[in-house]
Formats: sequence, structure tokens, C-alpha cells
Amino acid sequence: MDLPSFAAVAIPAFFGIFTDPYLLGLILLTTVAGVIIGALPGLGATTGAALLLPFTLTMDPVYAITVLTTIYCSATFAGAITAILINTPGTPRRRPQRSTDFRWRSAVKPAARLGSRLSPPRLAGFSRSSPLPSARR
Amino acid sequence: MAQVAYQFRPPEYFALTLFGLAMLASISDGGAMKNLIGGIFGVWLATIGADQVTAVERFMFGNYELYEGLNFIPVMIGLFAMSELLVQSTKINQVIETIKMKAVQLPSWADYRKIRGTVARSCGIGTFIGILPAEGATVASMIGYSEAKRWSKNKHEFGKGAIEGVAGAETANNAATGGAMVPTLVLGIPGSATAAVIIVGLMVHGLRPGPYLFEQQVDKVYAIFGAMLAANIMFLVLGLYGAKAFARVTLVPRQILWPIVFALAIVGAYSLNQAMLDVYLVLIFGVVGFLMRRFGFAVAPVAIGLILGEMLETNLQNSLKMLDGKWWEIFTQPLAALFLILAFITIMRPFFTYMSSKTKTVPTPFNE
Repeated sequence: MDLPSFAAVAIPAFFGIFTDPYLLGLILLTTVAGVIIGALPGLGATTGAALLLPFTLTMDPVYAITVLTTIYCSATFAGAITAILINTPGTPRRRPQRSTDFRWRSAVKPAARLGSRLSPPRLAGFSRSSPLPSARR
Repeated sequence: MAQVAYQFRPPEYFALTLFGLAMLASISDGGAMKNLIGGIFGVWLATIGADQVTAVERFMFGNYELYEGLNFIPVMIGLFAMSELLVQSTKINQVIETIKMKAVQLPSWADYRKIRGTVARSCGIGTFIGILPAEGATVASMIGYSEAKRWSKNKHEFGKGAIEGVAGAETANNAATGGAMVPTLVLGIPGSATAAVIIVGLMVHGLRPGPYLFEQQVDKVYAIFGAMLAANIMFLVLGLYGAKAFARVTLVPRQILWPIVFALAIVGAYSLNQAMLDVYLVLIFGVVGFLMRRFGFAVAPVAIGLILGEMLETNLQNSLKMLDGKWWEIFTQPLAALFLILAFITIMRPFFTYMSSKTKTVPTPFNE
């Protein structure tokens, strides 16, 4: 397949995701589910994906893959919530930071993933502007 | 892309798969042997059932439900979900102390400026580690953290809630998910434990990851990319506005959570083929996974070995047929030879580092 015909298939497929309302709803639902799965102690991206695998079998292939990759991304993201709040072993971080760190969490990671798309000042617009917390020990 | 795909004939695939298996040794120096043992166990599991070429029955013990080999999905559910359940059940009496937390606050603009460099660095680190076959988010976050510490001006704050530490580890962690999809889709070698599960999901739908996927199923591949981008945008929004709510999820009692997981696992396995065998497989591999974890083995290499084992066997048989049974001719194919040499180096690397340092490194289990 040469490049133009490759692009002719690839580009509509890529943006097709953003124009299919059913698929977008599915992604939203699985993102919420994935974040919950990731935040639950003990459950993670792998366990969650393995548990949901049988339920994707009857779906259209594109939807099934979408569900699995969405669970993967969002549960990995949310795994940090458990890691920081209840210190699951295996994370390189130590005890004292739990409460202080959580506030950073939520915005730091997505900011990184989308680093090139959303500039820091733009992100800051989302946040409740607060002075640097003195609670940092 | 197409030309690359045509370069990959059975000998190349065989060497590539071997390289993927060898990468299990590089996950951590201390655990290299255990990861390889797990991988080989997975390859053995893949041989259960009828031989794909000669139809000889292997390890079936007269049970014809095993004729087509182990069903991957119940094995995955058993290894990952059921074994985790058993591990959690050993902690059921653990008292969880809750500490009061101030309202969730988001970082200020000054904080973003502070972590800008760390985020950019960890993004690169995470993507690169993710691309390496079999190395997942955990390794990426560890390296991201130590690099953030190395570059930071205020090292003493690390371990006490330094924002750079969190940013370094978590950016790498998240970037690794994208990177892990590269070997998964391009080569068919799982980039992480979760990617192994995703490969099983693809295979069930008749999509065989590998160079041919880009040739024949471009639309599906790009749908995956689009979905990952959409998911990332959505959890950016969810993370910003729902962090407080999601933090409460961690307080769900184990006594309620794990019975639900158990029910989901069993129902899910049974619903595949309405076969009790799948349910037994979940239970058996749950116990196997639990025992492995108790003895310091990680379960992910088994899953990766199981997926690669099938590829390995089919491609070896096909290349033997192609080369008229002269197996040494695999080494004369340039691309195959390259991957075999890479595989050899990867396997031997832990021994070399061990010999040169003579200090025992602390094993870090491959766990996601």
C-alpha cells in the first residue's frame, strides 16, 4: 500500500473515533470504569482488562479494542491514586508524601500526556488558583 | 511499511519472537531467571492441544475440549484476576488506617513551571521504556522517578512529597502506555502485561498483531490511536474535576470488592463458550498464579510466554518447512540473525552485569 492510499484509510479511521457518538459514549463510560478500576486497591489495568475481556467479544472489533485500550490508559493513570493514598508496595515513593502529593496528581499526569497539545498556562486556567501550599513538609 | 511487512517471513518472525521472550530477562537483573522460567512455562502451556501442523495430540490426557489448545482468556483471567484475589484474601485482616486529607487542590501555575522539564524528560523516558518489549509502566515510573531525582536541584525533598518526584514517576508511567502499544501492534510482541491481554482481545476478533496488521487493517490500527487520544483527553477532564470522588473509591472494603471480582471472573469465563472447562481453567490458573507470586515469580511473563509460544512454534515449523529442515539456515537470513544475536545479548546481559559488579542487586518484581 502506498502512502496516499494509506493516509486515505488511516485519517478517516482516526477522526472517525471523534465523530461516532456511540463510540465516544463508550469511551467516556470505560474511562470512568477504568479510573475506578485503577483506583481500587489491588485491581489494576491488567486485572481490569482481563476481567472485561469476555464482555468485549460480542462487540464490533473496533469497539472492543477501544474498550480495552481505554481501560489500559485510564486504569494506569488512576493507579497513581491508590499508589499515593494508600502506598501500595511497588511504587518507588515512600510514606510521608501521601496527603501532600495527591493534589498534584490529578493534573500533572494528563498534562504530561497531552503536553504538546495543552500548554501549562492553559491548564492552569482549569485549576483553582491557589498559592503554593505550605503543607509541603 | 508494506516492504517491511514482506521482509518478515517465518524465520524472521521466529527470531523476533525469540527476542521478545529474551526481553523477559531484561526486566530486572535480580529477577531475570524467574521471569525467564515464567516465560518458558508460558511457552509450554502454549503447546497444550493438537500440534498445528502434524495434529499430534499433546498434554491433552484424552480431554478433547483441549484439542484446540488452552483458551487464552480464562488463563488470563485466572493469572491476573483470580491470583490477585487470592493475594488480597491473605490481607483481609489488615487494618487500614485512614488519615484526614485536606481538600484536593490542583497544582498552581508556578508548579507547572517547576515540573516542565521533568515532565518533558519523563515523557521521553516513558515512551522509550514502553517501546521495549515486555517492559511496562512500572519500570518506566521507577526510571522516571530516579531521573527526576538526579536532575533535580532540591534532592532532599524527594521522598517527602516533592512535586518533581510525582511528576517524574507518573509522567513516565503514563507515557509508557502509549509506547507499549508500539511493539504490541507493530510486532505482535506484548509491550506490557496489559498489552498481552489486549493482544488476546485482538486475536479473538481475528486481528493478528504484527506487520501485516498495518498492511491489511489500517483502519483498526488508527481507530486504536484515536481511541487512546480520546481516552487521554477524557481522563484529563475527569482527573481535574473528579479527583476527589475517585479518591473515595480507594475506601471500598475488600470484603465487598473481591467477591464481585470473583463473580465477574467466573461469569466472564463461563460466558465465552458455555464450557465448564473455562471456569476450571480460571480456578486452576488462579491458584498457579497465587503460588507463583508467593514464591516471588511474576505472572506477566507466563501470559507473554503463552502468547509468544504459539507464534514461536508455528513460525519455527513453517521456517523448517521453508528451509527444507535445515534449521541452521535460519542464521543465514540477515534479519533473523540480527534478532537472534539481539536475543542472545539480552539473555546474557544480566550475567555480564552480575559478573562485573559482583554485588547482588535487589530484585524488583515485574508487577503491574
